[in-house]
Amino acid sequence: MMASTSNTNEEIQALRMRLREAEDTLEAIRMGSVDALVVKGVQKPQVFTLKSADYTYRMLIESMNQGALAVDNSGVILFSNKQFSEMIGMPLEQIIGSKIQSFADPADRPSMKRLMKKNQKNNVNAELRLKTAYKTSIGVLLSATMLPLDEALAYQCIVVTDMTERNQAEEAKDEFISVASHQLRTPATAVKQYINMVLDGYFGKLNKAQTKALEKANFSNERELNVIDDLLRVAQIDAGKNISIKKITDLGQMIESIVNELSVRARQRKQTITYKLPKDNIEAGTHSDLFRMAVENILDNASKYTPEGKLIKVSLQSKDDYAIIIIEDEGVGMSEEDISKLYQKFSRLPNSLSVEAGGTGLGLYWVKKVVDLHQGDIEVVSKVGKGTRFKLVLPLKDSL
Amino acid sequence: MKKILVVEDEQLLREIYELALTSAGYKVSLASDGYEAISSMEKSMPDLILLDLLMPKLDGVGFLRESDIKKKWPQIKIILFSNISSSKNLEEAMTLGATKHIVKSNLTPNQLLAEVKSILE
Repeated sequence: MMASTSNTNEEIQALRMRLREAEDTLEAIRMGSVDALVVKGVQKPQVFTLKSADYTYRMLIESMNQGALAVDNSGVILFSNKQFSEMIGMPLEQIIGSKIQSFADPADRPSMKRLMKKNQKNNVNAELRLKTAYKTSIGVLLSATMLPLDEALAYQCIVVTDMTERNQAEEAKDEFISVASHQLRTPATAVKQYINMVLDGYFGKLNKAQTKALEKANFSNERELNVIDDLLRVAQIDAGKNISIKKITDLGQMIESIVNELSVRARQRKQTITYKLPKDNIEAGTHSDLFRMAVENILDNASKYTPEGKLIKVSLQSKDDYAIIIIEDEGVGMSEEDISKLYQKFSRLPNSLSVEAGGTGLGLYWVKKVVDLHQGDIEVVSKVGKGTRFKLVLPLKDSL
Repeated sequence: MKKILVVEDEQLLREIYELALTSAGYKVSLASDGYEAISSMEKSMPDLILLDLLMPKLDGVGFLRESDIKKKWPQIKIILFSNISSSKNLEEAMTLGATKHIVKSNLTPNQLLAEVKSILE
């Protein structure tokens, strides 16, 4: 008798709880807090949307140029606007209830997985390719925002931007840079080759005046080639193109090789370049060709803006999680005002050696961009007439 | 006499490399794109190829791929000629069997000859 009463009480308790849940749900619907109900089915969840809920927002989302999706915490699409359906060429019925992961191009599944990671607090963006009904794929940018609802209902809003046009424009820009590079450099290269063959006596002996005139032509042509190189390098880094894959670089080895290469030119200027490396190897993940060129550029500048007979020192050390490269010269130096313009495009600083150095004012702008690309830092201390000290800081760990 | 194939679409450059290499005692054949280079190799196998990267019809990377040179003729040395804008092509070309990369405008003909000599020796 006692057992039966207790069972009835438990049943009443359970029914009360279910009634409270149903009342809460109805209240939430009435208040406009619910715009869809997900009912777990045998094969896949079914989604019931409420027409009256958030009508204005729905209209807004339907009139967007981008695709908009709401997905649950396992990636099941609960809502999709028309644009997404048109973007991938599939009817809404086929999209809703499917997992968003199933639309990712196989190669981009890892990116999609990262995007769908649970409990992400911030917005997450990923550029990847989605398969379409036309057996092709399109490049898209997915921006996901986690909605702070309770655990069971947690879902993400995903805005999908079609990047096809932007990608085509970037490809066209890249093509332009490549063609411009070829078209500008080829004639100047031919001039260089012919002048040097004449200078090297392939077409007979030259008198002093002829040699001098050709050397001047050669010097001018070299300047033109440098300008073209600098312009193209800047165009490439501005466009974010042709950036090589990061590789582990032994920084000491790199410095040794750069110093050896530049020492020949330094000797012509009667300068000495010394370097000091630590006993242990210091390695960092770098876009090796770009980073090497950036260090080369600073060291070459140090040599160009240092008078004959002076010393240039390069050193490498590590501190905490950073590699530090210091390039110090006894050159003409810079004023505070000059330093503030140092990384601007086309900024050339007037000093006693600037005409001879013949720069384009693009080198350090480019160097700064390369350092930024490595999440590094560049500092400069200088005194007019005393010299300049560049400090390059590069993260060691997790820099790949 | 060592044989060198110059693959370069720019006539002025082809002529100057031919002149410099012939004066240094090499036997030189010329091609203005990747397809011409393949036909040239069918007639006479070179010891070294000076290969431009950016060319019409079949570019440098296309030539390396089409000819399957790395597998078929691994003994042939290949110097790649490029400019700074083609670093992606360059990485691919290096994996397809190129020996060395040179930025065309960095070297004078005599400096190029020194490079060729050191590779062929």
